[in-house]
Amino acid sequence: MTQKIPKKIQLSPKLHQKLQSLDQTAKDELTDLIYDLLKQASTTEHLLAMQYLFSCFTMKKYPEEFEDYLPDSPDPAQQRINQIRLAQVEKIRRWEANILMVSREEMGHLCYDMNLLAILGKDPYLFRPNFPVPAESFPLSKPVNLMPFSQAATEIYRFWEKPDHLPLPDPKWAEDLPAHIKPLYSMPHLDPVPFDPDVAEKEALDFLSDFLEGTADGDQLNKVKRPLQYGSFFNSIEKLYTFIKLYLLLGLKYKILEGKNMERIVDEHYGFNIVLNPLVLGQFEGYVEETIDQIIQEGEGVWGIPPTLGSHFWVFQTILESMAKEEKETGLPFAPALPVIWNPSYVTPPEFHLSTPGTCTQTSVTAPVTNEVAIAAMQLFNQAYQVMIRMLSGFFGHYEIDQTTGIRPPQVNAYFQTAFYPFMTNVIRPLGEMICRLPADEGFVPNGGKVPNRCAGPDFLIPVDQLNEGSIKEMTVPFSELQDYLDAFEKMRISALKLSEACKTRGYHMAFYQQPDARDFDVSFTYLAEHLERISKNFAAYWTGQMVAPVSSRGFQNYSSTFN
Amino acid sequence: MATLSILFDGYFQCRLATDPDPSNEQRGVSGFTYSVAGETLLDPSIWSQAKDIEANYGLKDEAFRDPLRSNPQFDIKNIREASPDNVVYNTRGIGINVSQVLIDGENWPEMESKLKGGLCRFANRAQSNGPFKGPIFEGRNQITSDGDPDRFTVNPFLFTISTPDDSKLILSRFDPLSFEFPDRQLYQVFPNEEVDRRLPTQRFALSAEGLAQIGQSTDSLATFFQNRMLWLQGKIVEAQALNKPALVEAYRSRLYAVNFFTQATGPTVLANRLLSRIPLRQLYQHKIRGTAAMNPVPFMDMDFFSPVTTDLSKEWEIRYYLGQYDGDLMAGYCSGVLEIPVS
Repeated sequence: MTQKIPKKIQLSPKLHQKLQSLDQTAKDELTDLIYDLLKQASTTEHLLAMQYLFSCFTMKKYPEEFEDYLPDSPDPAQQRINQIRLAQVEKIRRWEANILMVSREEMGHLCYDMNLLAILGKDPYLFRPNFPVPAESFPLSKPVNLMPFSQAATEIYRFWEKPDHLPLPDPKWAEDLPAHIKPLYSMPHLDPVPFDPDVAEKEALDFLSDFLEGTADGDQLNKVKRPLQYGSFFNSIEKLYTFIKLYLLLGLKYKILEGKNMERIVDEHYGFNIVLNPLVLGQFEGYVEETIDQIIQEGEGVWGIPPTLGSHFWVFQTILESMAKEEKETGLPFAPALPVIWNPSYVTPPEFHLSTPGTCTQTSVTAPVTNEVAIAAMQLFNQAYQVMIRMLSGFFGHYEIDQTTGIRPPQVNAYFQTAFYPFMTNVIRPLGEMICRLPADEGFVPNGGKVPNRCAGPDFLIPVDQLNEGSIKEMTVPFSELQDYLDAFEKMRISALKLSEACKTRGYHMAFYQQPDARDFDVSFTYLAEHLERISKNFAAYWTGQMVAPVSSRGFQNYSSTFN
Repeated sequence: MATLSILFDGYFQCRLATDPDPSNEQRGVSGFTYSVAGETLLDPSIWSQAKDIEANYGLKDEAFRDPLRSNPQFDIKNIREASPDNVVYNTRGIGINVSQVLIDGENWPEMESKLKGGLCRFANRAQSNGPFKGPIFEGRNQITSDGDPDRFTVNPFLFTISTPDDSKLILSRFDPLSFEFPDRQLYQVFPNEEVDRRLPTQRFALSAEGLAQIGQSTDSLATFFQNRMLWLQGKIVEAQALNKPALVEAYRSRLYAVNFFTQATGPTVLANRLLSRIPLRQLYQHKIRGTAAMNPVPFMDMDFFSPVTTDLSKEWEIRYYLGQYDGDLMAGYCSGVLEIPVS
């Protein structure tokens, strides 16, 4: 793909002159400003991706997860109900497939942000605040919760992905939004304002002028640079990316940014929609423009142009329309998700959650999980998630590849071969789905695989003081020693085996466990332990350069055709 | 010493979860293989014979039967029908059978008359196969294979042939991945070099012969899944007319998967994932080395094969193509030859 030719940016003579004559200190300050903006963008993409994933984990997959599904019943009325439930799990599956694709695209956007950080000469940034995130700290002015799939959740997701000009009701008033969540909607719901790129660009340039002159409003500057402490300056993702794009382009044009780390630009296939040309040397400006346009295009449409039918906005709009018909057409109540609690949590030290910007206090909007098996599974999930973040930091921070041979340095290869497939797909996802089928309450009495009244859920916890930059960095940087990774994998393997035993001992089953070939909790946790055992061996072999792929490649030559 | 060659071909079924679904996924969500309403859960077992599928899973429930199906085999649970342009598949259904018998490269009509149509199986060996009913393709999302078809092997490998009426097993032999530890599962075999001999030795991304075996050609590829989608749309209407709401949605899910994974303009990682597997076939070629010290022990019915005899301590050789995998039908085509040194 040819990179875009950057649009000409019209500057005032004063700003033009200022940008030409910045000393090194001012250049560093501008670089840091862009860094802070990109941190906010990365945090946003990361939060959205995890939030969508959580909802997917909660979606029903098996007809037995509907209480009124009674297979083998000879009663015609019951058979009709069974047919409806079987049909509904098909619909739910297709919705989930679409939402998973959206989540993967958000992860792709996060990858782009890592590439932009590389151009800036900065390390990857893979921290995000714990859920729930206060409305003030998020650039869409609404709180970010871990929500089971529902009409309310989908309305909120549609709101995230809507074009700025589109009037939509405040998701706070969604019918099934729990009452205890409503106070988190602490920001006024704004009237829709069509996104005007020229206005946003002027605002960005005015802010830049003030910033360079040292006359920027202190409150505004704090909100731009430290949204978790002071609240976000932005109320639109398009606006946030307009600022980033403009500042990066000006930085490159005026040689304030050199454009660094070409070798760190990642475009490899690992399940994401990476279609950009990685050969950006000398084309940094075009790359920046193309990258940011793709991020916006896949979401809510580009700069005021209506979203395409494949956009995230239309995914959620279509699901809402389809969901609304179910009860009317079938005459049966329809709950498409397991009864997973909102914002599940097993530990709430005050410093782990923001309640309002800059204030870490124990929040009343996390729901406690007390079931010991579920807690152990959540802890295992968080260990996996935290190790994955470290591996991703290592991958994006040290990425390089020989473009001729396709060979990566051993440690980068270890991260590449582990962090995406299989960690995201074969550790995080199955574990997340299993947790959503475990009871939240210690008092739960198993009843032949019946779905608990309240189910647990993964909380994606990063156990660190949310405002302590030093601790955050320590928690998200890659391990320097191989043994640290191997120790982590082994610890997780043992945990998975213990969970298998615990489920057997307590008689916990997934609702579908009596279907032929069903792999219940015990089998699936054991299977997970097997993965971790082998992942550890593979990782060590990649790290030391003894292995480059799971099995040897014979280097088959494929036809250069559409069939490859 | 002479060589007995037994040629075989036919369709197999493998309903495995596909990337990026977890390998343990049993319904199918983000990959291109789905277990739809009326079918059992996804399972990576390879089924070589329709009758084995029926024995394990039975027939489709009435609500999922299609009175207009082209072949009674499609009444068996999990066996899907294809659009009418797939004449070979719709006619033959699932089943790998003996097609020819040779001795030192020459026809052996007497034996062929007894053995033609014999049932060939990639059979299971439970002690090296976890919870599965049949041998499996195992990738574990790039833990034991990287997802490319050329990195998969049939494991455990136990090849058997029965008489055409399936009344009698006439030969069977196991090939361990690890000769030293024959009971190890694939994920336990490390480092990987021991697996190499069981991986494809050649890959044909656009195999005209493979396409011809399933009644297709490079010309028909362009419309292969378009025809499937049109046919599925018709089946949806038929199921609606029959007032079978779950069957309607089952067809819709098949249609969704085919549409999603054949999008010409979709994300690069998804485009043509279904279509690329139709003309692809790969050649496997390896010895079958199981010894009398391993269960099941090597077996050949000497009465059946009389007047030839064999020394079962000698290794056999097998060459087989696997390919033409249709992600909607979850079935692929196999053809090959088993060679046994005889006297």
